[in-house]
Amino acid sequence: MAAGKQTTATRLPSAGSVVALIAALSLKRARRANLYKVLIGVLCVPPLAGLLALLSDRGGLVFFDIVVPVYVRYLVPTLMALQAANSVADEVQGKTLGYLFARPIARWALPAGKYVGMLGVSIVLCAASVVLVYLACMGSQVGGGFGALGRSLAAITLACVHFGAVAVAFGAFVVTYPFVAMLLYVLLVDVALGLIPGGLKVVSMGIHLVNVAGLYQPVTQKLGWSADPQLGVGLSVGIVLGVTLAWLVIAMAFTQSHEYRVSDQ
Amino acid sequence: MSAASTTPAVVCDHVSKWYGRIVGVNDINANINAGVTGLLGPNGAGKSTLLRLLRGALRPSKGKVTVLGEGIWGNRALLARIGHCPEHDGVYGDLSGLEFVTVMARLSGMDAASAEKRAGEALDRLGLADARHRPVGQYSKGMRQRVKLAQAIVHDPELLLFDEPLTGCDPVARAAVVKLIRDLGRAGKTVIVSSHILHEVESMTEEILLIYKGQVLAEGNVYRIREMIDEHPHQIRVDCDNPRALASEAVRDGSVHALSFPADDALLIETRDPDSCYPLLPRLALEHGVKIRALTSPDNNLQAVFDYLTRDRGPKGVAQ
Repeated sequence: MAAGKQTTATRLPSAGSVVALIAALSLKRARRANLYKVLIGVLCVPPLAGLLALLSDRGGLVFFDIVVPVYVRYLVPTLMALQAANSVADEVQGKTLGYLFARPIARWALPAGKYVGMLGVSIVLCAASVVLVYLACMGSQVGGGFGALGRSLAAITLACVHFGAVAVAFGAFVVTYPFVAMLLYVLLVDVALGLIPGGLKVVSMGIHLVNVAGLYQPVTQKLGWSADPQLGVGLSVGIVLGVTLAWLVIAMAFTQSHEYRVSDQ
Repeated sequence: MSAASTTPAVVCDHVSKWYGRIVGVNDINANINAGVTGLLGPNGAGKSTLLRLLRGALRPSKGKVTVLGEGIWGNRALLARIGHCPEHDGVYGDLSGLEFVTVMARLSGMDAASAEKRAGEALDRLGLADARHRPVGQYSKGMRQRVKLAQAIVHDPELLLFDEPLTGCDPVARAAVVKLIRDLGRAGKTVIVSSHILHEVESMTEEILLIYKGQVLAEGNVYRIREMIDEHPHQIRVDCDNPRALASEAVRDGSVHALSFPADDALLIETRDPDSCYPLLPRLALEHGVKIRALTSPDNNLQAVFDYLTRDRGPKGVAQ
């Protein structure tokens, strides 16, 4: 056979089709590995808590407003961190990365496909969980606080979008225990900065997500560095989307150019 | 090697790959043509690194790898013309054999219908028709090896890189894999098969590339390689009823370099002058009443060639 003569009838797959294929593959594998059962199990806890609050006369919108920040700052990041292990790291640990990279695909499509694969299911599950919390804690008063529910759903969706990107990035950077690495990042950077009074709060995506949910209460009586920044919802949405895009681009660029270890392939 | 070959399918031009201070391969120069080529060397010799360089998974630290006439690093389109079967046992255990191979076909650019059809054909060819709907995680090691080969051939590539393809195969699977490789070679494909077990490669091809400590020791036909090692003694094994009597006579001849007794009824002679030694042995046997059952040269076995070439390169340099 003379070199340089292409005999295969195939054509190169488009980036979109590769992302879709990897997303479908990722979904199928996560379902068979019972990952979603774990997520559903975790997401059932807040609605049960809401029901208990209602039964003990501590429910209502007050309880709902307490629960939503827990979702966007702790629960969603944790659930996404659980899925980080299902990202590029999973391919490396399972020694299946070589099969994918031996195909005529853009390497960046791998984290992109993983992201798409985890995003849809996560948003649906988390949103369903929040709606259940709302129904549980509002009881017979359902109908009141629809605005709060809408804002909360927007914040939850944005949280999934953001922390999903962070999870994919950690899954690409840290091939061993990405769950732990991402959780440390969330606690030591995002949550910790959100707790410090003053302008550093703007770095915490959790604070912006709480703001999108309409629950951000800045302490502005203090002056100088210790005064919390005033944040508009539009600004928070813009910052979260911008940072999310940055995480995704970094994850894709890293996967595209990184030479994973010999034993990884 | 195909006579129709005009340009080598694979050209390594002073290719080196270092992992920090560790040398993966060092200054590899090799031309590989269509047909089956065995990449031989002990574990850690650099075979897998070389295969990864050939499929663009690693960027050479130095030199250039040309595959099917084009540079491979960063050449995504070229990957559609390459099939790869890794050495390790990693597979998508939760997918069925058919799903696994179909996904790989689709990632090579096939549409859904033809990908599934071709995946089925590839699995049939490897004898996995009955197991196609079972999860790969439930396959035996030999079956996993075959499904890995199926995904490598599903898109009908021109260059196939098989890293230790017979690992874990039972005799039936082994025969199927060897037949597949020989068939692919006869069909004009370029097939590079790595192994550290020489007789495995012998069953597939006489074209070999010997690699040791990241360097190519020799390449070409095993007989041509034998010519390259003329400075080493040639071995002649004599199976006879009285090897010690024959040895005592043979040692007096200047052509005999060394003697040993691999078995009670066998004599192994090392000579630097096989042309003189071959006629000498039957004559001595006749004169001293020694009955010779067989006169063979282990040097025609790749193992002997490999032993010769690696003998002086380290205490653990010999495969197996």
